[in-house]
Amino acid sequence: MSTAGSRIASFLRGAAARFGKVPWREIREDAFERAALVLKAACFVHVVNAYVVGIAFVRPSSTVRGPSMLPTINLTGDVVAVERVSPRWGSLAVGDVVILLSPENPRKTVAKRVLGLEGDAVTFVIDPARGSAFQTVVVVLVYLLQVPEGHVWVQGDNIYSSRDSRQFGPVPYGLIQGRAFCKVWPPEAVGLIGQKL
Amino acid sequence: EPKSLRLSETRFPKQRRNPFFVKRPPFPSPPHRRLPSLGSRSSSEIKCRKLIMGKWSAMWLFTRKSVTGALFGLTISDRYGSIVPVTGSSMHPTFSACDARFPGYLKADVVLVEKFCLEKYKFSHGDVITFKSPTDHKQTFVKRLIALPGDWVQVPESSEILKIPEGHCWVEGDNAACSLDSRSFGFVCHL
Repeated sequence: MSTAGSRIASFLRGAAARFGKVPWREIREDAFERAALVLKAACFVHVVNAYVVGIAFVRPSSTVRGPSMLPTINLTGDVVAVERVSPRWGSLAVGDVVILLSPENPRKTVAKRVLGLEGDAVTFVIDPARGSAFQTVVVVLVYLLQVPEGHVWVQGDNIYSSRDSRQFGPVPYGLIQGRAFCKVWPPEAVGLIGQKL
Repeated sequence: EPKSLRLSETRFPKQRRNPFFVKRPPFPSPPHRRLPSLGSRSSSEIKCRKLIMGKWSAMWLFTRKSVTGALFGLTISDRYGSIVPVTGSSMHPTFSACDARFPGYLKADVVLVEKFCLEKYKFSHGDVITFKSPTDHKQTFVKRLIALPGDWVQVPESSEILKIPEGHCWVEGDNAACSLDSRSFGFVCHL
């Protein structure tokens, strides 16, 4: 018992001595410097993503309602590169595909095409499926309205199944998060997103 | 302490002890001074070396530190919270009225704006919120939240009763006499 006790005591003394010899100050400074480097990298990535250019995954099931941007964006979803500089500069043009927060649910982002800036007159058809050459009486209701100040009019490319400004009205400019200018994935669809359909 | 047990020595050997060590300048390298590499010096030695560095190195270090500080500040103010002066007289008893132009700007109340609420968008009645104006996206307004989506609100001067649509809210300033708020521009999209 005493030999076990003395062995434990000597082991603990040896462990304490080794503990004291480990260069804790250098290890701590090293750890802080590396953590600071990781933080700086994370801040850099955030700033580039928010102010210069970012990547967005446009998925039909959660971001847009069904295939609302066909044929520009695929049914199964594309990854697009979104640049953040032109909405801040105010240099958006009619025909740009933009990523914006949905006015109906601020936690959802949707991708649509800008069809009218403030002051423009837009014509739109609420229910294009109802207008058909086979009907004797054409019941296509065409509306015309002027986009109010500080707002934009957005529509999906696939007007037959898209929930956009025809349902929720013109969207305030501040909801626009960026302009999608290029598709980067899948590889066979890589290319710039054009201004027209 | 015995030299063989210093951990930093075995991982980062000091260059002058090894005659075959090839001097490789770390990136970025100032013209005539090497900056200490990661982890091989204690902080007091780093401070001594900084005091004896040339002025170009000092300026380069200052630029690096200020860019790092700017990145860090931008990230914090975008994601977590920022400090903002409040101008204008539309929230009068809550924030003191002051001018947006130069001399009045210095007397503005300075507030802490927190952005943690934007994760879940759970606001309550009576919160003072900041939002981008629906008519001009470059201007930010500070008003009090009166009604949330799904509530019914009566427009003060007229007798119409409106229901707040999904994704919008009704804001009003505390100083009702001179406040540009939802009574003029209607519902505000969550911004």
